[in-house]
Amino acid sequence: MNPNRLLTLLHPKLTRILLAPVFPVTTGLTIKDTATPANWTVGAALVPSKQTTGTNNPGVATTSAYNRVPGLALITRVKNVSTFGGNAASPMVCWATGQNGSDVTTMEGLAWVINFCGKAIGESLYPSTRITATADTYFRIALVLRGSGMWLIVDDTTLAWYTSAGTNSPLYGQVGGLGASRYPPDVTYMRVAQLSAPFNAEYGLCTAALIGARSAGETFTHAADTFISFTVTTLPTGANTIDLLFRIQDATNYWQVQITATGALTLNEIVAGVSTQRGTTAAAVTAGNRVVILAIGSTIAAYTASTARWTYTSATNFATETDGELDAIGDGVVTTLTTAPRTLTAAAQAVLAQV
Amino acid sequence: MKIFEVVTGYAGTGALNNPYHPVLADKYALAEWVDVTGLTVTQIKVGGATTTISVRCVDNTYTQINADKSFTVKAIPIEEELLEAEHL
Repeated sequence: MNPNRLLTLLHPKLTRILLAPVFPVTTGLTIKDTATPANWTVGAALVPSKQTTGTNNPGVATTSAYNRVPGLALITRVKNVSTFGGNAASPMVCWATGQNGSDVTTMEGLAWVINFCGKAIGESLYPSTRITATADTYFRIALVLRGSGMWLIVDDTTLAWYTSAGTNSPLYGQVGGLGASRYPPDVTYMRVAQLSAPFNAEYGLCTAALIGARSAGETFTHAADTFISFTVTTLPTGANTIDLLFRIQDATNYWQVQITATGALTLNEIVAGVSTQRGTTAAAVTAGNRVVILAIGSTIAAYTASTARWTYTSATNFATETDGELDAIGDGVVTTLTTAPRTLTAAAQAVLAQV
Repeated sequence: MKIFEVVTGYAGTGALNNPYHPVLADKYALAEWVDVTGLTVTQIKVGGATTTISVRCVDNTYTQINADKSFTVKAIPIEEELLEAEHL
């Protein structure tokens, strides 16, 4: 095989990509583009989903289910259509265990809300990934499976979120909806492809991946605009705290996320050794929670237990710094600390661009 | 739960174990607050500075804060349930 070839073949007949064929569409659904790129074989990939009842609106789903493999991508060009009506949580691009696209317990993907929101199996709904989900505008959305969870990518460039909980398999790719009144989607195409590196490794997109139980004093790197994810397996007790530093300029200038024994989650800005609290959520963390810090430019936001916590929007200091440290954990237990860039590397973007 | 903005002064010394923080957070049990104004540390260190924070708290706490002359509630509170309904 050509070593430069970036797509692993999926179809039994070695079809490179499964494209949306022409098929009868159900009410409100428009398939606008059935063009077949040169060198790609059209497979019988998609059928209208089986949503037929009530106010449910149609979606589309792959005919076949696919076993979960790191790097397996569902890539679709899709937009919501405001004139179709419906609620604000649809359409939703997702991998799901069924084709009906309505079972929220087995769907994982990206939905239109005010900003795109991620739905993760076992992690519930994240209210925002801070990408404005403009109405009537096409977005190219890639949902790339990991062994556990997935990467959620918008327009081949922006990591909207990454999850780590879902392990369901096999899965159908689909554009469906969430909730009883769904927003019908406008789908240009849906494609399923097995991507090569960096997507085919569990932590392939990560800047840093510290797996398993962590120790105080461990350092890591991250992109300036970054996700930082870790699990608080055990909260500290008493006066002990978990202190995570990021965007470190030097020993006295950095940002700090602090978690107390009560699960309070606080953002501290340390400038020339002087500390200022910028936000706190009480009881935000319980044992076993995944904590995600999202730093984008001058905005720093926190998510725990499937819920958006504080969002501080004046974080101009140290915004280009890329060093982090798990400064303290007290008697708590922190596991699997990862960082991933908000903007995909050029190499990763190039892989997606071939699909 | 109510979500609203309120003006508060600062407490704390700026030490790592006693950061500058809103006086309001010392006086009332807040489910969440976040700094909206974002004064610089230099501005805070001068002393006497006030900042606007966005607060989420139970209804009863909101009522107490709204009646407390030490603080100025700026915005009409939003019922958190309404926000959740929009998202789901």
